[in-house]
Amino acid sequence: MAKANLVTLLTVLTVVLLSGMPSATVAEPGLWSVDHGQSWIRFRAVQAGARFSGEIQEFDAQIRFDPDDLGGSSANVRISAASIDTADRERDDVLRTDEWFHVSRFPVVTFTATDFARGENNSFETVGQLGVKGLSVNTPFRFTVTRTGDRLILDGTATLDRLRLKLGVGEWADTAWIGQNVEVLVHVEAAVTDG
Amino acid sequence: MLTNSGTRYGLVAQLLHWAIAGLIIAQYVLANLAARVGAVEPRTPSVMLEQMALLARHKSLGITILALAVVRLTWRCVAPPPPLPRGMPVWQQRMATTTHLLMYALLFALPVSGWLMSSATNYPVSYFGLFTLPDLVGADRSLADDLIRLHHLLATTLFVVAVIHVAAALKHHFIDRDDVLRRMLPWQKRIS
Repeated sequence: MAKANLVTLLTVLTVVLLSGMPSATVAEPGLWSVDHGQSWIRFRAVQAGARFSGEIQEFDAQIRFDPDDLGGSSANVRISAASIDTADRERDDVLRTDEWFHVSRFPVVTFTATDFARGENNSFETVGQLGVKGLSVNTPFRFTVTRTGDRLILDGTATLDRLRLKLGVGEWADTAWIGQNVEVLVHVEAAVTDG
Repeated sequence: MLTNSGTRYGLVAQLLHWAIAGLIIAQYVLANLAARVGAVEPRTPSVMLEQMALLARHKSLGITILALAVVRLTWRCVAPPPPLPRGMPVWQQRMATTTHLLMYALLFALPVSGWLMSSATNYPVSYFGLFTLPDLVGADRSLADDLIRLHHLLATTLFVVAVIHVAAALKHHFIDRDDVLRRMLPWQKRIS
């Protein structure tokens, strides 16, 4: 009887001690709770010499970013390619065709970043992987993060080379009519949550 | 003579008149070509790009006309035109004043309506690829549809007024045999 009690006591003690101890691996930064109503992804492109802008209507962002823990930070963004909106039905339809985003085969554009560094003027930089049309392209992204209480605001930009991403091939490749560079602007508002 | 006299228009007025007239003709040609290309089936990428190119030229010329219209109006305030020939019937004088007034108004209304239309359709105006003009309104599809109709209506109005204008000038020259047309021609010698 005494032996069984001792075993039980030891088991209970072990469980209690282990649950109270910090885990052996370093906890990653908390997952941002993205406020989709206040967040947006827009882009600026040039067509026939004129700069115009459009917006991504559907995207999802899994962000674990902590300025004090860059090593553990990560970001994972999934964009619905069909949700690109330039306020013109014909242009939006063209963007979904094979020569452009080829949405029927590649419905999701992804952006994944795991290596972050501090840049100048309170900004951060990362070179993430942009997944478009089966390609994975190194894409620099520069951004700032401001914090008010437990609300975080991220603003960042990236410049994309549409030819490198095979966006607008064939007859669309002429950059005199559709500019080669596209500027992407990101604005994310979130609350930090745990785990 | 650069400025207007009591009997004829000066070189500045004449230059502005014929330059704008030429540009307006070019605009009708470009607009019609763009519409023609726009109706081609199937709508391949090269068809779309060709229409894009024609409309880009059309927009750039339109802004040029708008700038010249400002110069033209300023010049008219600074240098009043020669008075209408003595003896011209009152109804003809009224016709002349009305058509000229209409043309001045359309010279502004047409390019501005086009600029508004470009803003509302989210196909902003680029001046010959040099810079992009700011949007006058935000992208709005239903507003765009109204502005397209307005732009076309104004263009038709200008066409009608221009035909009357040309017909009247020819009537004065060949039927009345007066100096009305001659006053606007740079190569005619001084009119007594």
